[in-house]
Amino acid sequence: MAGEINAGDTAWILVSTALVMLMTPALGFFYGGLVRKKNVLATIMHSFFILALISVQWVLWGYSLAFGPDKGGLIGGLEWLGLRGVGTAPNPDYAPTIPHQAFMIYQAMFAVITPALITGAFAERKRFKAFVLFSLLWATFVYDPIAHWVWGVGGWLRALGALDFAGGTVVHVSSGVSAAVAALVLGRRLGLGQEPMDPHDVTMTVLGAGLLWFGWFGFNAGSALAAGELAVNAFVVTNTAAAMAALTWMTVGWAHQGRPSVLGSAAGAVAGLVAITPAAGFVNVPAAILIGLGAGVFCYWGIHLKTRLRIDDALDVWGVHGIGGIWGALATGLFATTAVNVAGADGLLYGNPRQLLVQLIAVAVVASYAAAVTWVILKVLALTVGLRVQEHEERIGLDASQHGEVAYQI
Amino acid sequence: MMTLVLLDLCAFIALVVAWVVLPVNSQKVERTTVQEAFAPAS
Repeated sequence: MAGEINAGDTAWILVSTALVMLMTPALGFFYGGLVRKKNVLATIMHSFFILALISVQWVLWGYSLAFGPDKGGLIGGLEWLGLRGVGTAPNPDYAPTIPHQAFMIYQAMFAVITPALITGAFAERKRFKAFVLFSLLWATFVYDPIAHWVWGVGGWLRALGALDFAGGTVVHVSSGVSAAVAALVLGRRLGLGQEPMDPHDVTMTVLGAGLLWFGWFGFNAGSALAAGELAVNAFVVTNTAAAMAALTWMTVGWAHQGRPSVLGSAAGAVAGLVAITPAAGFVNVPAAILIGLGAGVFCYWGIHLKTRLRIDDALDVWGVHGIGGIWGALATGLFATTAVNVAGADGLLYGNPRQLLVQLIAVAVVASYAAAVTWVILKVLALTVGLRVQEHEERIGLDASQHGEVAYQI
Repeated sequence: MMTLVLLDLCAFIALVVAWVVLPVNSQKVERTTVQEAFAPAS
């Protein structure tokens, strides 16, 4: 039985959709500033192209697989292929006060940004053709099933009681783990450790981080799917955790490396945004400060551990999104309270240790599945179209070798 | 709830103290100009 459409809720979700849409080009700028100038266009193109690619994939079959009628708790059916039956009447299972298509297009932006996050791991060395096929296959065989498990009606992790308000496991753990696998399979960039690979434009990265922070209000507060109290809570804790993580990362880096880094502040803010994502609709403000604190500490040291292990996750996707996502998912099991959201659950600190166990299971399952399927996709592509550019193409840069363009005439 | 707020206050005050006492080591800054940042690897 369809509910009545609420104008305020619908307006908020449409605005949130636009906010989340902006995050993907913002990610392109965040990543683009971090690479060498010969690869900046190719890096921005990864995000921009995925925005177009997955937007089409989503309306054709992605939405149906993720949110369509349940098949055994594992996947949505193909009944909504090409958005058949997905009209303007609300779907009471997902969002009873907004048109079904508004919910669909809001979710599309999550499907878009998730594979775009992974591109930071294989920056500066992946063939464009391999990137296109990888993104399409990953969205279909990794993102869509995991979204169904956690968010789809009938999804088995949702039925188990896993809490993921806006995508800690679905978006960040899945992409962070897949990024680590991609970095291992592709191997290190030529000259890593022997020649400078400093960010070519930190201002671009900080601009990207600012736009990501802005868009994240749509990501988290929009996930309330209504313009009400829960959206306000999510908005406030999102800003608080991002701020605390930026302060913490900068301070830890200052103590460790002797200077308050601008880049560290920007990365810290993103880490805080990642960590609060699964918790935003279940925790209060005091908990958000501790979640931001943890994100700043854990993600900072996670990135340094990666450097010592000599894994070339070029733009630290695993360190920020993998570790931040895992911390956020587990912190939800610690700090969640039904005083914030009666549809959620209490966490360990409120007398429910089972919730932490459920969160741990969700993280382990999503990480294992994403790692395994990502590895298979990459191996298949390696044997068919090839993953890496030729050595001379990597040396002249991906902008020229893959796109025939250069970013700067200076 | 009150315990969490006390932990928050301790964490924030610790950060503020750190900003006051930590020295800034400018010797660590290796690339400061546009020309240097865009210079080809040697």
